[in-house]
Amino acid sequence: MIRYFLKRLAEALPVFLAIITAVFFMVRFVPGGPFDGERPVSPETLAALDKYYGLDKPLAEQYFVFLKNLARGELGPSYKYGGWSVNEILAEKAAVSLKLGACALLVALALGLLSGFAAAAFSKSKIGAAISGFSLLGICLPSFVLGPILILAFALRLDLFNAMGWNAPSDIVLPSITLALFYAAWIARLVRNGVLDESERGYVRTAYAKGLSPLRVYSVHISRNAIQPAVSYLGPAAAAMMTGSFVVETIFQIPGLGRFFISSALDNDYTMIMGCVMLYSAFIIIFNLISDFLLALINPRIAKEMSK
Amino acid sequence: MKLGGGKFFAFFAVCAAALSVLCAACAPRKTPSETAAENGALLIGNAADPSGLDPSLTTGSGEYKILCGLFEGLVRADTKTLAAQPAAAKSWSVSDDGLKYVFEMDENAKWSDGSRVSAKDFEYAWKRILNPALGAEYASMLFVVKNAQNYNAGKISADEVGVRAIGEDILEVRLERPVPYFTSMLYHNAFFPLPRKTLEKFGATTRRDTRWTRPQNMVCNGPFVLEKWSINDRVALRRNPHFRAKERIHLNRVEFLPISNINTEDRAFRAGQLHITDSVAPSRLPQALKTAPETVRRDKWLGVYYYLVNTKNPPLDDPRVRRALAMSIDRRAIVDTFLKAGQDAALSFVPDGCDSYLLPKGKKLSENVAAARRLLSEAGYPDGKNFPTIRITYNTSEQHKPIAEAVQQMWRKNLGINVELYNLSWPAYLSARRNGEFDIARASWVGDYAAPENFLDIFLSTSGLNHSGYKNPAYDAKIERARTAKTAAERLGLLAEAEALLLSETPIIPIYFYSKVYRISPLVKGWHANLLDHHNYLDVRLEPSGKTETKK
Repeated sequence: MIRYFLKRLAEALPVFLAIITAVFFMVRFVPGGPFDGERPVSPETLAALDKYYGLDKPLAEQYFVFLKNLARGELGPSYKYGGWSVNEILAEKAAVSLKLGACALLVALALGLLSGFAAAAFSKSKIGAAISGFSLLGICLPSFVLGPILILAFALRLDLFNAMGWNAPSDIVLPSITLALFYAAWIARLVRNGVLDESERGYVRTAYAKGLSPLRVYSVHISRNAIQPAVSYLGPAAAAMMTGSFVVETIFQIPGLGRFFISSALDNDYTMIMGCVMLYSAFIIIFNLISDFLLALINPRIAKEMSK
Repeated sequence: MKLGGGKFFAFFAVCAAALSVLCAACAPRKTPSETAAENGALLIGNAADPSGLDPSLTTGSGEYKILCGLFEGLVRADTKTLAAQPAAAKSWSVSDDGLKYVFEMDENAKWSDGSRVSAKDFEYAWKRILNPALGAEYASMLFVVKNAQNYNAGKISADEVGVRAIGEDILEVRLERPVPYFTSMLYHNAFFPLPRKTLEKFGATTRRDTRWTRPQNMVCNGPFVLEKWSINDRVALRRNPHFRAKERIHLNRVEFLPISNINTEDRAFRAGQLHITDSVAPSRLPQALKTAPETVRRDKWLGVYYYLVNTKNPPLDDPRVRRALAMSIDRRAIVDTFLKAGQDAALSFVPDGCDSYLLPKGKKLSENVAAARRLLSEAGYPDGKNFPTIRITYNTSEQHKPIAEAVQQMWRKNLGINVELYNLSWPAYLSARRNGEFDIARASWVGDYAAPENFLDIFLSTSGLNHSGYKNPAYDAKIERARTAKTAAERLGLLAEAEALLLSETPIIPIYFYSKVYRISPLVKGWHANLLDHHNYLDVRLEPSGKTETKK
């Protein structure tokens, strides 16, 4: 199994390199540069800036310098934020996004699993239909609608939470829910469908025929297989939640990482763009590995596959 | 146990109720802005994160707001009248020819480490921003200083620049030409002094990315010092114990919250999390005016929103066509429909309020659809026939799009011409503008200082800001003559002639003059409106006993 993970990591490395190489060159072909402002900058000043940040060198040389620095873990200075290095910004902001993402992940899991199983258990009644309907609504309702609705209700009307910010411990509640709902709804649908699919299988009938109680059939036999699609989905979902969401962070004014994915691209802040892309890629790779690991734990057959 | 439908919902209802009660029990009774007011902390919405806090390197208005709390220049603006008041310099004199300024430093002006702010700190700072190796974007602000431009271009040495400290007490400044508004230029952060020792400790003289601007490192001479700078979160300043005029500081802290989303900022204000917002969304304005009119301010602001015309490309190379376009826009309708804050329609380029500058009414543009049609017909496009499709280029913004759409409709209806809209990201838009890759581009200009030159210099043939391709020696000559005018009346008269010429040839289509529209809590006292939206937080106080506006 360890060999399997090492193999997966070895496979991920060239993908990672390909991604950063593509992005490195792509951002430099975007019109405009990192030092564009409304006020024109004299050619001398622009030349001084390019020289200072090494942008006057041939692109290939810049790329190798970037790789060399990367090998030392150095991502360079941000072009937008004077006096800040990309490492520093990523470290500070990722901590916030991780905290929010982890909280949202827990909410999504709890809500998704509960309502998924409930929807399946009551699939023939109105409750099941209602839960399925709600989960569809959760998928369709964008966070830029849900967030302001939650703020209007719980901050402005009921005065239970702050409308924005990241100061009080309770500031995590509304953004977590906003961020989690979409994922919770997906998990619920995947779990519900998984349970209903599995319930039709022969081994379930065999289990009932053996005289096992419905509770045991569900908890031991069905659930194990039924949650597998949801676990696969969790890899990329967790990566997306942990790296922050532009929309949720903007609505709730959260100093996380999500906003940099958009703002660094708009500002042509090359080093910051690279930092964000690398972090996101790394998270996707890591969380996919974790979800593979979980799948192997749940399903011995997959573990056996991996050990080959 | 099988949970029936009714019981199932009842269970959820009980849980939700319990949660609400629990939250209500621990919810604070005062709003954050009330608590902050009691602690003397002013909470200000700042639309964007500062891109830096080095006065030589920052260019934005969001940074300027913060820097005005951290530093002060030789003189500072009276926030009511914008007149120059003594600051780091206690007095100054001007030579008869207007070419030499001598500033006498205030011996009580101190850096936050307790050392004296000397004339040498200004000489160091001005020569640093001009240092070609630093690549400071706003170095051009100092080009009025003798030899500054040549030094910045690397042609001469720093010693030849016209700024010189004579001992600690005297700063002598020589100018390239008389600049009647020179003292008001000094309000800008490009002219702020710098603590040389601190900068050199972090190697910042010619380096842009050092850590001297971090809270634990920064030494400054303004009413406040830097306490916290967390990107996307806040910049917090606290009172500077060494400030020369302590009696004018009534706040303990000032916090700037970089809220980029206008709706988030609005909700924050309504929930009592901000004292002053950066702006108000036009869509929210009517509601705010209805429910809490005392919190809404609409102050005249020295800026103009306009369309820039590329005068090099046909059919826009014909001044008649450009004039026709400018005459067939209903500016009032745009203001009333989209902006809703009663901004003034712009029929000229220089906003009101620059000294006593006044453009005679007859010289301004007019709105006249019939005359516009005639002009277009004279130019060879009767009823818009054969007029090629032109494009309005604008950068992504909730405000630019509807205005461009309205102008598109007005031109189609009034002149019978086809207009395409072209949306670009900010850097791409700037690049298109600079390279002349546009027909008509949205643009705006907000004055750095209240002088007509600040607006009219843009259209000089030598100006780097002149992206319209407009070049007129007669225009350049008028501006040049104004520079050497003997009296203020002569200068302003020549500038008015230049503007009249500019408008008659219409390389720009002014649309409206800016107003600063924002919300302010009644707890804040002493916050004055001025044309430059300039605030230095002196004499501003918070009165916690005031009635606060929340939840509206």
